[in-house]
Amino acid sequence: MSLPSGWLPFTADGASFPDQVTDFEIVSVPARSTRTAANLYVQVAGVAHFDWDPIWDDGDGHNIYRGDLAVTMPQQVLQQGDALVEWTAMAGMRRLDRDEEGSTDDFAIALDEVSSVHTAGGDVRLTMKAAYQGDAWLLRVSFLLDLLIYRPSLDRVAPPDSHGRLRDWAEVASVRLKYVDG
Amino acid sequence: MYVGNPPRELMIFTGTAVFDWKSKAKLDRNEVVVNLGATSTEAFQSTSTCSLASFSNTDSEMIFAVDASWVVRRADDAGLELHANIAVQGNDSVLNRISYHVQVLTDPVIAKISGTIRWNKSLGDPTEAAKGGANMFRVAAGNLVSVPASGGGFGSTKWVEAASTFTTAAPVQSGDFWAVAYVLENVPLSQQFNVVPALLDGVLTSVIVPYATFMPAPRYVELTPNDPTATGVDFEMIAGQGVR
Repeated sequence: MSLPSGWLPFTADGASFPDQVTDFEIVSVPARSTRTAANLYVQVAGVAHFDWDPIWDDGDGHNIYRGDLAVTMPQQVLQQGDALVEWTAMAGMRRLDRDEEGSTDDFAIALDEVSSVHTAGGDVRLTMKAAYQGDAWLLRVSFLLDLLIYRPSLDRVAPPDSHGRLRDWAEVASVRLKYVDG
Repeated sequence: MYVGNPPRELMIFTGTAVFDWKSKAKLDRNEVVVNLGATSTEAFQSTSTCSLASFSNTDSEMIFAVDASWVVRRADDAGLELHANIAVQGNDSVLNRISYHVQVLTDPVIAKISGTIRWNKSLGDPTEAAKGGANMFRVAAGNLVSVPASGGGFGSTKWVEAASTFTTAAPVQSGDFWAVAYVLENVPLSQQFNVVPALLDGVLTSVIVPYATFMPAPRYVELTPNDPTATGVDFEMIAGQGVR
C-alpha cells in the first residue's frame, strides 16, 4: 500500500528549512573518471530529519505502506555549468521510533533503496524508497552521496576545432558527454 | 576514478544487500558477503560502512545489529568482497537488508609488455647514434580489424594500435648478436593483442636486403588484472625472403 496521500511528500527540505538536514559536509577533489569525462569528485554527507508523527497504525497495523523519502541539500553542491555525470549514494537508519500503541505491536521499517539523485541548478535532491508497518517511523536518515562531475574550467586545455578556432567550454563539454553517452 | 599524483584508482561501491536472516529467539549472528564485482592489486586500502536498511519484529524484545564490516581481496581471482557481521534477536525478528558504502584505493595497474629484440650482426651494426640510445625500433600492440565493404567494393583490413613505444636503451652486443630492450606500457587489459616490432630507417650501418622481418610472428599477448605484465616477449630480427 502507498503512504497515506495526506502525508506526502515526505521531504527533509534542507534547501528551504536548513535545520531539516544537519551534520552537512561537502568535500571535493579533482579526479578523473575511468569511464567518463568527469573531472571533479564531490562527496556529500548529512543527516535528514523526518520529524513527523503521522497516524501510522491506521487501525490495523498489518499493512506495509510504501513511499518515497526525499532530501534537499541545505547548500548548493554544484556550480553553474557543472554536469553530474555519475553518482552513487547510500542511506542508512540513524534514529527509529516505535510506540507500543494501536492494535498490534508488530512492526517493520525499511529503506529499500536509493532511487535517484537529481540536480537542478546547483541544488541536489536525493530520493529513497521506504516502507513501514505498525507504529514505527524513521526520524533520522544518514546519507552519503558520491558525485562525479564534469566542470569545464578544470580542463587543462581546450583543443581548437578543425578550423583552428578555440571552442567554448560548453561545446567541449557537450561533445565529451556525447561521447560518454556513446 | 583516478585521484592524486601519481594517480591511484579510487573505486566506490554503494548498494543494498538483500537477504533474510531470522532470529530464533537468541542473539543469532551471521556474516554477509557482497561480491563487489571488481578486482584490485594486492596493495589496496579500503574503508567501509554498513547500516541497517530493512527489518521487522513481532512484538518482542529485539536486537538488530551490523557489528563490523571489512573488505577482502580474494586470493584466487583478486576479486573484492565486502564482509559484514550481523546479529538479530527477537521472537521473531528478521533482518532483510543492509546498505553499504565501500571505498577502495588501489595502485594503478601499469600494464607492461617487455622483452628484447635481437639480430645477427651480419645484418648490420648499430650506428653510433643508435649505440648511444637513439631510437632503433618501434614496437606496437594492436590488431588487424576487418573493414566491411562499402558501395559494393571489397572489404579490407586495418591495423588498429592499442599502444606503442620506441626503444631507447643502448643496444648490447653478445657474441654474434646485438640486442636491445623495449618496454610497451599502458596496454589495455583483457584484450588479446599482436605485438609487432619495426626497424626504423638509418639505424644500422647497412641495409637489410630485401627487408627486415621478426620472429616469432604473430606474437599474441593478453594481459589481465591478475597478470598485468608480460616479460620475455622477445623477437629476433631476420632478413625476409622474396618480394615484400
